[in-house]
Amino acid sequence: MIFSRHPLEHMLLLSAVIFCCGVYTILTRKNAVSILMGVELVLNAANINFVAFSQYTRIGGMHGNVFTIFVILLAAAEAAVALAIIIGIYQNFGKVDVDQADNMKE
Amino acid sequence: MGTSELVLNAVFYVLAIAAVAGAVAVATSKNIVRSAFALLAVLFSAAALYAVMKADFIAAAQVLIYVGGILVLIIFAVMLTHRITDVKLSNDSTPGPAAFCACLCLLFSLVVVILFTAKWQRDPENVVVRSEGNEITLRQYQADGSTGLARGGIAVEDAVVLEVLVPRPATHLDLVKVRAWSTTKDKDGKENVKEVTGQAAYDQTGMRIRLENLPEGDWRWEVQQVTGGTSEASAKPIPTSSPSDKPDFSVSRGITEPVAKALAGDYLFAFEAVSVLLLAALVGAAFLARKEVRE
Amino acid sequence: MTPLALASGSWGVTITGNAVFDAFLCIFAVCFLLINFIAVYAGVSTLMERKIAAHMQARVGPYRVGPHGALQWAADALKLMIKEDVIAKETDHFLFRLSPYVVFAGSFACWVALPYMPGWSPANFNIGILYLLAVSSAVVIGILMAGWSSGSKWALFGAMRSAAQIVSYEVPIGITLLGMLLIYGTLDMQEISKAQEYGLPFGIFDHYKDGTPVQGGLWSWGLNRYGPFTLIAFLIYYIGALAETNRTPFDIPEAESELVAGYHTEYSGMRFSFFFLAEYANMFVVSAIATTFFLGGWLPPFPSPHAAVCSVLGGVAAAALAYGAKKRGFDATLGFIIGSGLGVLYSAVTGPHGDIHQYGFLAPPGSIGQMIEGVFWFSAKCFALIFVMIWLRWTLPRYRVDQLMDLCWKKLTPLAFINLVAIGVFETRHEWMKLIANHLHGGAP
Repeated sequence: MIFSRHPLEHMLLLSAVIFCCGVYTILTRKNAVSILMGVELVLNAANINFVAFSQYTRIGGMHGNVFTIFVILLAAAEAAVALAIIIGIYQNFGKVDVDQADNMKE
Repeated sequence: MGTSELVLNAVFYVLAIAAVAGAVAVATSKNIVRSAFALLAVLFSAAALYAVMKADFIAAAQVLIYVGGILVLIIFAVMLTHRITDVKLSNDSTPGPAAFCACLCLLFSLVVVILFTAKWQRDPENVVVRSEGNEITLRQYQADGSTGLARGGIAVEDAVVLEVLVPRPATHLDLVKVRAWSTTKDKDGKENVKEVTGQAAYDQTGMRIRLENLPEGDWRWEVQQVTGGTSEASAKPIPTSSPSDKPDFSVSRGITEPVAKALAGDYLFAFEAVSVLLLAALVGAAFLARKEVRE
Repeated sequence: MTPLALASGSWGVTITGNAVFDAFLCIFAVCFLLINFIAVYAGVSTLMERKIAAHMQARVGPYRVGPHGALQWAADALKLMIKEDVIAKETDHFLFRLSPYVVFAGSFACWVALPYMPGWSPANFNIGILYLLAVSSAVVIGILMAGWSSGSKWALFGAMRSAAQIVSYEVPIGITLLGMLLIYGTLDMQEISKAQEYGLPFGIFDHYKDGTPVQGGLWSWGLNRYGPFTLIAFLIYYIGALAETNRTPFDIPEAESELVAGYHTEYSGMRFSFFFLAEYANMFVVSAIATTFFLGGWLPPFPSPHAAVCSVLGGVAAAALAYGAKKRGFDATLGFIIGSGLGVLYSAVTGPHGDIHQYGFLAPPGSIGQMIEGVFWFSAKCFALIFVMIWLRWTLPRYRVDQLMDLCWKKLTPLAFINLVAIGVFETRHEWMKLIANHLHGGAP
């Protein structure tokens, strides 16, 4: 079970590990920017998956690669808006702790 | 295992370890700036892995957009949301057994699906052709031989493996020859025909021909049946069943051109929609992050 | 020449028996050569900067070390190497030590993809320019790392300003290069250099009667392809390049009177010299990209000696006429340019075109002479652009940071977009001229 004989499985396993690290980051962190970093890990894991399927299976066409490009673009847009919101929260509350940003709770 | 395979494996394992170490550091580091720079390691490793998978355009796009844009934004956000004079920024987390067990179960289920349950479409399609009572199976593979190549698929490199399988000793076949030719047009519109011929002696399991250093373009191939000796004159092409408008496979140096054709073809609407979305995100982010004048 | 290609023995070089060792030996040899060149070039560049500044300010500059101060750079390098390495206590030690290397790695990784000579780069990619733009992002991250880990707010402010400036000016740079890519149709740096061998401005005269394409020398470079638009693209790119490398008039992050020294305030000795090395290496990289896209890369300015002679004679004649008529230097220069262009056109129409050597070099194709000529022309053009950068530094005052951002977003980016559209219109001129002709002739296809 070496990489060059089974490239697809190795890439998928790697992306599964990175995905789980990303989910762990989202679940346990308190800082909003850290949670965003976890989201980026999850998106990168998905991207590795897409490209691996596109390059290592006999599905004709470039669909996986094109989808990866769209994911990268959308991650950029999402990160920009999310960080703008986080900076807004910092200006209003003085800290970006997601556990303490609960003004709208009863 | 050949030396280039060894290098490829070593490169993959180094990059995989770097990516996983970076991801674990993002998840568990107590210093948020260290976390951000570990994310840098993950993003660069991912780009290098795309290059290993021969998706060169995506590797460059990943570094350009993720590292040059998103990571810079994240680091700016880290610096703007803390008191500037702290060097050791604490990054609290609430690690509990619940989150850890949940992630472990997720990882376990993914590993089981990847390794044991799913059947990935890797084997080549078989094209069965009958000729003079012999059943010949044709297949095409990507260069490393581990993954089949679809009819009309794109080989992102310059080597393709063609396989011709004859299941049992045939009375009319001593040598089977394969001829591949390219029908792409030059810049001036002239047809550019290149012929590559592979020939191998028949053995019990069939014949594999490796076509290397193929120039770019659309390729077709056919099997020529040589009877009773090496004489060229007795070669008769055995018709394959590929439709005449689609090539058998295409060779391209890097995925830039195929991806561009897809973006301007099948995915044109999505491309335009994403540009509108990016514009909206740009305007929205600039509006949200402005400094309000408070009364 | 990827390591995998080398390891599979396709370069044909055997030093040790093992293909993998050979591959890595070749890679190390090429990188060793490049790093040595960067080190010497950066050192001599600091000396040239001081000398040029001095002569522009009517003084002599460094004079004592070596003949006319020619070894001043070696003395400076030695001094930096033996200085005490001071690291403040409030710094993040690991990142503080790492950041000079990240910044230098970002610059050095660009050097391996530049087209130094016809047909060979240390690592030629078919996504050449995209790779260069991508890897330059490592410099931004290194700068932020350096500013943050220094533990001082001046360093942090300098780093954030520098990062914001570099990231902002990547936008007009990217758009102008995109416009030029519409002309060349490929991302490969070697192909882009080759594509500037043929074709006169606006495509006025593309092929001789026997089908061989016209070599225009200077006049088929990227700068001259589509009239004022490619020239404007070159100027926008050059201004953006000045901002990318934090050179005056955009050096607010390193301004001594403002922020002490910006993001490298806390660095001393060898670590500081790494930042210095990286800045000069970056200057060479942006000049090299400008050379490849706009100035013809490794191509010589004249396709043949006949063209050179015609061009010079025509230019001198036109300059003399213009000076005689108007008695002003500016008109003489303009006359020289127009005259030399007419000379090249005359040579292209009537001169020898059957037996010009490949790319217009004097040496036959595939020989060492061609390689040397290629490297000579490439370096000459890069160093000319670097000289202009140094000239601008000692001539222009500094921009304030809001003026800098205003220039980028409100002036250069819209201009770059307009340029892109104009070049696109020129590139598709055959199609829309056909459309207009069809429409005028009644619409029948």
